Amino acid sequence: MGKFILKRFIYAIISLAIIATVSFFLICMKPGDPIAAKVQQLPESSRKVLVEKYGLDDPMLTRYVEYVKGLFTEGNLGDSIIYDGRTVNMLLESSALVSAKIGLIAIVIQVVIGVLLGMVQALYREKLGDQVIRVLVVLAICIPSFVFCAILQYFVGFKWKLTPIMGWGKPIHYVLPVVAYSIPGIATYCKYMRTSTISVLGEDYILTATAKGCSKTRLVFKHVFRNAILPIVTMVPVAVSNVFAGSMVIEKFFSIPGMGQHYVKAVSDSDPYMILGMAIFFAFTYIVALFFVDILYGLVDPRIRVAKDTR
Amino acid sequence: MKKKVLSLLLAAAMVCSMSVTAFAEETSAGIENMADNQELTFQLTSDAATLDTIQTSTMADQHCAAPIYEGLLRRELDENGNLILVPGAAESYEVNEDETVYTFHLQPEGKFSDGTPVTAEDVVYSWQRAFDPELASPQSWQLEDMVVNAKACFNSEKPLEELGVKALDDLTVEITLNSPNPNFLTVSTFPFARIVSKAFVENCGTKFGSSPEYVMGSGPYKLISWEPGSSMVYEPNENYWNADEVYLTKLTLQVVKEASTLAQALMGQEIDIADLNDTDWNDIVDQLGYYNVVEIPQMSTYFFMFNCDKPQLSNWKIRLALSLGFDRERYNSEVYGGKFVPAYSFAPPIATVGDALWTDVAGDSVDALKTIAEKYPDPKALLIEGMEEAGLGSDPSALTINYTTLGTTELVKKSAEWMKQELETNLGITLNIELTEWNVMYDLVDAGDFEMAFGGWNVDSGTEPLRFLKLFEKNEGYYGEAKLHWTGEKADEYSVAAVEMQQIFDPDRLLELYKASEPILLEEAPVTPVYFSKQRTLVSTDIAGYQVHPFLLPDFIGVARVAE
Amino acid sequence: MVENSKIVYAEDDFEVVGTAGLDAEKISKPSITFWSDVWRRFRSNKLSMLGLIILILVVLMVIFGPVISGKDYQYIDYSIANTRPNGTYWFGTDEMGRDIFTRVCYGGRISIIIGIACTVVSFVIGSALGGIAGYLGGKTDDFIMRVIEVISSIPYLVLVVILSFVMGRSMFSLVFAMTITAWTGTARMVRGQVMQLKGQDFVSAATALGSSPARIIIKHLLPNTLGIIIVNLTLSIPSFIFSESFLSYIGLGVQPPETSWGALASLYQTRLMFDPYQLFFPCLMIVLTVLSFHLIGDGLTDALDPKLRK
Repeated sequence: MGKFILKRFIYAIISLAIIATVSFFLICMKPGDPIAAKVQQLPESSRKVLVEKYGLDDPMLTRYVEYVKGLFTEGNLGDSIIYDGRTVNMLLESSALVSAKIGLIAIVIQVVIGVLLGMVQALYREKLGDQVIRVLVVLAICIPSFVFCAILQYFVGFKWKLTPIMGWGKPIHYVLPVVAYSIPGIATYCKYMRTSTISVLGEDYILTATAKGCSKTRLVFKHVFRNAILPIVTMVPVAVSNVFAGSMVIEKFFSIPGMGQHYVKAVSDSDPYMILGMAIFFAFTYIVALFFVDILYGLVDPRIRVAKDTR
Repeated sequence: MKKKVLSLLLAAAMVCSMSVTAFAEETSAGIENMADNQELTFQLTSDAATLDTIQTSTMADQHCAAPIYEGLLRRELDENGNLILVPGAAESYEVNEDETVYTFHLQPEGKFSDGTPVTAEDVVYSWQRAFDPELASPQSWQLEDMVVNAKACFNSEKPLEELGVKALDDLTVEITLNSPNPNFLTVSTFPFARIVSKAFVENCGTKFGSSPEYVMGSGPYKLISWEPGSSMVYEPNENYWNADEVYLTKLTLQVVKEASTLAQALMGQEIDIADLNDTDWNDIVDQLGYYNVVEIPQMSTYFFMFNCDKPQLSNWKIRLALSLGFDRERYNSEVYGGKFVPAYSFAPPIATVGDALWTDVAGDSVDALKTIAEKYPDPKALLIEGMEEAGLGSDPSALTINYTTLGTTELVKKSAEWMKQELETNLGITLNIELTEWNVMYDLVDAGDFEMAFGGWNVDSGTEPLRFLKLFEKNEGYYGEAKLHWTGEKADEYSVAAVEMQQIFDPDRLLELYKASEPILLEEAPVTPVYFSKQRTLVSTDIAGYQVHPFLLPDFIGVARVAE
Repeated sequence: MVENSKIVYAEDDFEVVGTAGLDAEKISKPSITFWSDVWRRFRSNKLSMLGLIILILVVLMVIFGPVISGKDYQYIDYSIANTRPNGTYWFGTDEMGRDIFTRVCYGGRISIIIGIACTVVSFVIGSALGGIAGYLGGKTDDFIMRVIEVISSIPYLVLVVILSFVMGRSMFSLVFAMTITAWTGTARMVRGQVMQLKGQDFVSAATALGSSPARIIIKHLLPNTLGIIIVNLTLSIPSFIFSESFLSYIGLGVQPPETSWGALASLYQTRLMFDPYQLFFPCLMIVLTVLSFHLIGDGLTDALDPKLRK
């Protein structure tokens, strides 16, 4: 196990180095002038002072070396050129955290409800309940999230006054965004759970257990659930790694200071170090997630041993 | 000098005049029948990115910084809705005979919110920061040609000590200008020239302006909390020299981006002051009667640009045909729900020549493009003529023009689709829409890699038409020959006039120059004006003293909630 | 008459009979192949057939709808803006007075093509690489997984902007841009499933019988993971349809005045609180299409996967 972790650690460093380098040069190639995004109508001579301050005229390699130096000596993922004083580290401490709180609660809800519904569907396959849920699943993944946001906000917040229509700070502010965030995820997990449960129900060992006279409750929880949840469990780490990025639509709708808009904004502003810093952070969370996925494969299914592969 | 006017501007027929009505609620003593609740919430679509005075660049930055920092002078509206300068951190000033040396006398009672006095040294330090090349303020260029050595300091040619801002004693500051300039006092009220505490800023280092503990000024309010991307809370600065006129006990900025969210918040009266500009929601919210609607034209003109270097656009008749080929009134009413003002020249309704409104003195020149349209009643014939002259044949359908959009939003898409159908129907040409992110579009225009593009220009001080007309002067203009490639005798003639108007202050000669030169620009049509934008603000009916003006950053002095 | 033992063949002694007869013989022999068995089982599933019928109807509507309505999908006419659905304008008109029925039909062409093209590409690349990584394991797995890490982590929007400049705005570059990262999810899914399956007896048996890895992956492992792959693909169709419209924000997707379901949905979003029918119709078409894919997917899963047989 120790060797496996060490190996993955080294791989992670290599991957991150490649990602950072490739991203940096791609970002430098991207059209769009960050100074123009910062301040328009700027006279040329003042523009020069700004370009010099941010080193935008330096050769790419020099800028890259500077960036890497800052990353290692100060742990600085990057400063904004457009918004003076804003840094990636700052965004991670505030915005990414806000998004993560909403996202994590939503994932718990998604998994619990999704798994339950999926199992119900599989166990009552082709019955009315199954068909209804099937259609709901399709609706949930096809209807864009702003529709859910608008409906929730109008009815729950505005008409019935059960929650504030927007804002951030109190626990009640979590309700609407968490619900809006959960809907498509519930549908996704439900769909996977249904398929995987049906698949497990067809396995020989279920037949054996039934033949042995195993009670239905015991059968479902002991044998079916444990085996059917495998694909779900391995999906969760990647979903968790995604929560830091937030959701632009939901956060905009409910005026939540999350991460969602920042990334897209940084790209459209061509704010180079912001894009790069966020990309590196997201890459890091993703790599960690994939690591956990591999660990989980081994834990939930004894047949898989990634750690000491024989080949 | 103590005379203080609290005015509430109402939505007047704003379009072609400046007649915004001002209500003088009260003078000097304060507001009667004040409500018990003196907390106020205002909305912006974004919060500040920084509250470091010299780094404020977005509108949100400047709005959020305005209640915290005070400049030497303040601006507010008088009874007639005109901008005037009133004492700020300086209780008075003198100017020498040739109007190049200003001496400011600071308020003896002036204090920062931590209780330390505002000294002349702080003022000098604040202004030196603005021209420090290491800090590279994105805004201070507006003063760099005026103040002695400012430009040299900013370009690292001279040390900051040589800047023309000196402390004579603890309460006296002397600022020396290169040459007399009527705009100097106005520009000196801008956020980047406001006063910070030297000791405090040096203590904060690079963190100055980043969070409430690193923010401090000498203005009417102090920052209590700041939830980035969501809200900011201010409370009165009890050390403010004019604290008597600060009535609010709490001021909250709430960030709301989505129009439907804002509309619902307004319907629930959760927000007192907001900029709602969504043609569908406007009506619903307006009907409730909770808010006064203030609509004011801005010093901001939007226009099409043509790249005169491209063969299909090299002939002026083709460009003029495009310029006359669409209906500006319908464009505004259909695409934008009438939220702009159709433009037939470059000077917005708010523009002035000397002390007179441009719309009052310019006569026909206000609608110069309409006069030209009468001269060429058939744009399609004009187009064909131009095509023949340019050797492009005489079939309009063979003419294809690429239209590079300014941004990629739904509204931009809509307006581009409208324009495509309008020009194709009226002129028989083909218009290709190329959706382009706005800062990429600017790149393409800089590189001359466009055919037809849309742009805008926004002026935040000064109301002379030359602010727009100088843009197209061939050498120094922002959209000069390097970008639009407009050349030839007419271009030279125009440029000579545009240079002259920047050097003189005589209103009669200016008016003469405007009237003579703008038709050249419009007829040659390297650019063509499309609309002027206007600001639309909702103010709760129980808020008194809130002033709205496109150049005014609200500092919430004299604003209060009245009992109904 | 033969003088020596040498037999001399002349060219005329032979004639080319070809293989026509052999083929004919093969066809004449009715045998239940894998695919005809799949079709038989698929057909017996009523819901899946319903899905297929819905899909065919949607496709027919998308192809012939504009002809039937006889209207121009891009013609702007403000005098009839925001007309509710009626006899003339079956789905009503939008805020620029354009016929929504025609626009929805027209927009579907691009969206369905995008949905199918991206699904196929993700399926092929994803299952191939995922299968190889899961089955071979070791260094190959490590390498493929690192490639996935890198590709999924490079700032996607930046990459797309650069691609749109390098490759221009075409259907190919759009599908290319959308599938650069889309296959990685499928690949991870397949890899996980294959890792789970490869220890099972039937794989050992196949290995013992000397099957090549390629054969084992294609013939034994992939069919057993199809259930999950199909779920993964059907779930990603709506995201393909919507991200196409998102890409048009960075100048790559369909350019106005052309349109797609995703573009219509984001345009009509602004009128959700006033004229909800405008958003309803493009969404309905997306829902119907995706529903049909789900039903077909479920049927295919049942029909293809030996384990999932009822």
